Amino acid sequence: MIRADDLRKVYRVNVKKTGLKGAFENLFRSEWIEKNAVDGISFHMKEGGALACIGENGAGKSTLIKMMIGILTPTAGDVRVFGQNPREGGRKYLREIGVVFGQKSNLWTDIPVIESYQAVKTLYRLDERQFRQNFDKITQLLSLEQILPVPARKLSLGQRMRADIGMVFLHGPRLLFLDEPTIGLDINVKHTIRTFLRKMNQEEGTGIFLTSHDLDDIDEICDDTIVLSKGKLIYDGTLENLKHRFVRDRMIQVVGEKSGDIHALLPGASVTKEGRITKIVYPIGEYTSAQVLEAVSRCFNIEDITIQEPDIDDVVSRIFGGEERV
Amino acid sequence: MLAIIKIFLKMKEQYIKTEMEYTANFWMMLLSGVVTRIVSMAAPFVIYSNIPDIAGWKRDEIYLIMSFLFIAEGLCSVLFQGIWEMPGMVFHGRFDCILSRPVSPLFQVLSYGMGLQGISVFLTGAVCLPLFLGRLELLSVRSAFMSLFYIVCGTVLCMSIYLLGNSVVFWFDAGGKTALPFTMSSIGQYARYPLALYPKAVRILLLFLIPYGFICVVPVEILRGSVSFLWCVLPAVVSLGFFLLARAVFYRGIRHYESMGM
Repeated sequence: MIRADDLRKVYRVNVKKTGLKGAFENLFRSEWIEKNAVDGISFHMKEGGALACIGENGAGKSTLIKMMIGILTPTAGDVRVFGQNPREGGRKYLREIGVVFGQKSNLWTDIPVIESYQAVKTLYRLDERQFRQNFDKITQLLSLEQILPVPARKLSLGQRMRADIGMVFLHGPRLLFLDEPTIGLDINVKHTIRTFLRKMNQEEGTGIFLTSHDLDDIDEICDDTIVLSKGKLIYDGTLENLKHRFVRDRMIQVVGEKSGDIHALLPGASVTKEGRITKIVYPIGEYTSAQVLEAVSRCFNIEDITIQEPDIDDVVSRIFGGEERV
Repeated sequence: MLAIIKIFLKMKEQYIKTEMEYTANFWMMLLSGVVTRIVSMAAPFVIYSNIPDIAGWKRDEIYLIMSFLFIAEGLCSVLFQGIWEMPGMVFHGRFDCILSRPVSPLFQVLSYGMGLQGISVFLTGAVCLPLFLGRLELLSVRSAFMSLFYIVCGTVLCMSIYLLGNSVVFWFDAGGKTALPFTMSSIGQYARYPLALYPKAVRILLLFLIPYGFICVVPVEILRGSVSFLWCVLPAVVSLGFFLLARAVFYRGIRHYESMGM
């Protein structure tokens, strides 16, 4: 469905001098530097797949998306969507995809949401039956009834995002590009949107390519992940794998009275006690879970015990903090 | 083509509905359109109350020139206000949305938004035109058709000038504003007086560089029969030429935008 091959995008960036004197000099002469926004990326996404692209700010995610939509021309390399170059696909290609930029709205600001939907119907020349069918499904799944008569500028961020995502499904796209669709949203809205996208992906077979900072998005919507850092691809594989590669510590939480010295048994672990709860954080390489459980059962009168899943935010900060190649 | 016009009008209908939601603002904008244009008609009134005739032009002929200008400006603002929103769209990245829809970008820009003031500017012109044609004893079926034809040419020309000026945003962005189109339109305002008053350089400027002359002065020259046949077709030729030029520059600009990735 999507195949990128050694894709590159170099921007020429105008360097501005600072201060009033500098500003004056800029009027007559400006300096340019080259910036590699996307630096030799290759990946593949299968038909009807859901691929997430993680990366810190400025990692080149948006540039990558824009090249796949056909808004930007790659400096070098090749990208193919549905087997063709997006720059050459023209309107026929644009009819088959849908695009949501989380920070910009596709809705017409001043008119009610329903009127924006009508405008899309006219612009995409959808027939009544097709429009109705998609419209009813979207309205129901994203619970849009109440916000349809409201002008887009009066919507809260969450409502706007729901309306925006609904709008992009009106023409029944085969492939959807979402650039940070859940940025700044509260947990309920995030959940609604994620469930909706997952459903559309699995039931309708709509391909999804999304970028995000939020690993939960990826967890709930996508199976495969690529990680970008400073324009380079540093990981390509499943999310499960990614977690395991980057998680070095695991945590066990025990409720109960202490009866022995846990330090002596697990010298490599750090132990903190908060009232009746004890948290034991241990490096995965040093101890197996079985060893830790055995030590815990010897030192505690266990009332309750939980093994924490690797924390996903932790993984992210480790990936970008470490800058290490996977 | 018919379908495109239908969509276009449908979009405009949306915008006028929006504007009507703000009742007070709606009436204020309409009023201000009429008032500013009537005030601008006061200058010739004052001048002509002291001097009977300037370079062979009577007061009502000056008003006729202004009527043509008002109609073209008014229609442009009502129909093609989106051109002025373009620098903002590019600056705030909304242009990406336009490029990701399977519809001509030029069409999307033109159909975006609606200038309210344009309605009353147009109406002022539309009332003045037959009024002064009548006072100059030029009112006939023939002159009515000619006026309509030159109004169409003038509106297309006015739109092309705006488009050309605003397309500069693709190369030189200045925080979502560009000074060029404003400069062009304020220089163009000088075309509301007979070109005979100006030195040759200014005449060439107003006819071929910023061709406001063809929107208003030239049609009146034609109607009063003071020019040769060649001039009668020139407005159509110039507006078509400028439209093609503006369109080419606009699409060139988009290509530049696509390679820069602003």
